Amino acid sequence: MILPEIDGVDQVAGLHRVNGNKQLYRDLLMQFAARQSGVESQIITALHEGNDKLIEQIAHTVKGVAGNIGVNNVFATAAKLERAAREEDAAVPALVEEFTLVLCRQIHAIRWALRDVAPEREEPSKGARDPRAVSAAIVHLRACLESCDVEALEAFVALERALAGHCDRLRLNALRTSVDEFDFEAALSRLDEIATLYPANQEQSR
Amino acid sequence: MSAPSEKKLVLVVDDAPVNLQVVSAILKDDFKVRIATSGAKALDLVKAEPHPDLILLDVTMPEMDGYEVCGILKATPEVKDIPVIFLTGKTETEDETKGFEVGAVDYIHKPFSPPSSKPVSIPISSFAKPANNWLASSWI
Repeated sequence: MILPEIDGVDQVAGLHRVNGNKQLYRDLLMQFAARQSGVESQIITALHEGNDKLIEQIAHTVKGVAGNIGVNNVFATAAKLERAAREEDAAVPALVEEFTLVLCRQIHAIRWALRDVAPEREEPSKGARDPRAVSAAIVHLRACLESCDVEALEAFVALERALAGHCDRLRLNALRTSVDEFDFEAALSRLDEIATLYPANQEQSR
Repeated sequence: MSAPSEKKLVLVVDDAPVNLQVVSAILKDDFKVRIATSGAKALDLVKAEPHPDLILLDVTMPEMDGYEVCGILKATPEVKDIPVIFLTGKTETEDETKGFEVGAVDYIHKPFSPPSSKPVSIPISSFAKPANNWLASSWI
């Protein structure tokens, strides 16, 4: 996978933090763009309410995430805003404006740069499905989700392979999103929906 | 706690999935990693057997912050001895002091320092050097 340069993003530092895993890094940048797109309205609402504490919290969270994936322009602007909000500085409104501008530009730049960089996941073509493998993969993923084990990320991939393209893509994508976001409860209920389509007894008799 | 021959179990607590993915990518080869996205969930998970060997705890979280979670852990006899290290973007001295007061043993600052190497003997300190190097000397 070739990742294009993106203004404001230090890919060397970001990739280093994820052990050079470009697929994961691409996903994290896209998640950043998706999740931070709601921040603008939250922080403007906080500004209108004069809620410096909330502004500080929002800036702090964005700063932490941006810093960890090398989104340095946003990191620097968020850090300035966080400090000003903490000190109830008169510059907060101007810094909120600067922060939202930088954040919006960065989100747009990430989306634009990565628009053609498709995930390198193997979309399993419809093939022979091994019912035992499906049952085993469902059991393993459920165990990972119930114990909030990070291995759920890999267990999901194993299930996707075991299903060999036979499962509705929308259902699988919804499950993937919940697993990626570590929303284990939602993932469990989505897995249960899939499991009802492939009950263990039925799977083994097919 | 995990048996001596097994991988150590680390509970990572942070409300930002992107941060959790980054920490997990760094730790997963050397540790068993469990994830909690809120303080309340962390308190549930930490009581489950086996207990974690270490807790990496974000400070700033909605509803229940890391200080409050740590305070509750340290007041709970069966888990009070599990070491807690704060993951934080806060750099003020008073914030660090507060963390130590509620029972944390160390801090790891965000953004995590990129590893220059990954020695097996001190895997956590290879990605982020704790402020007091506590991990390298007393846990691993």
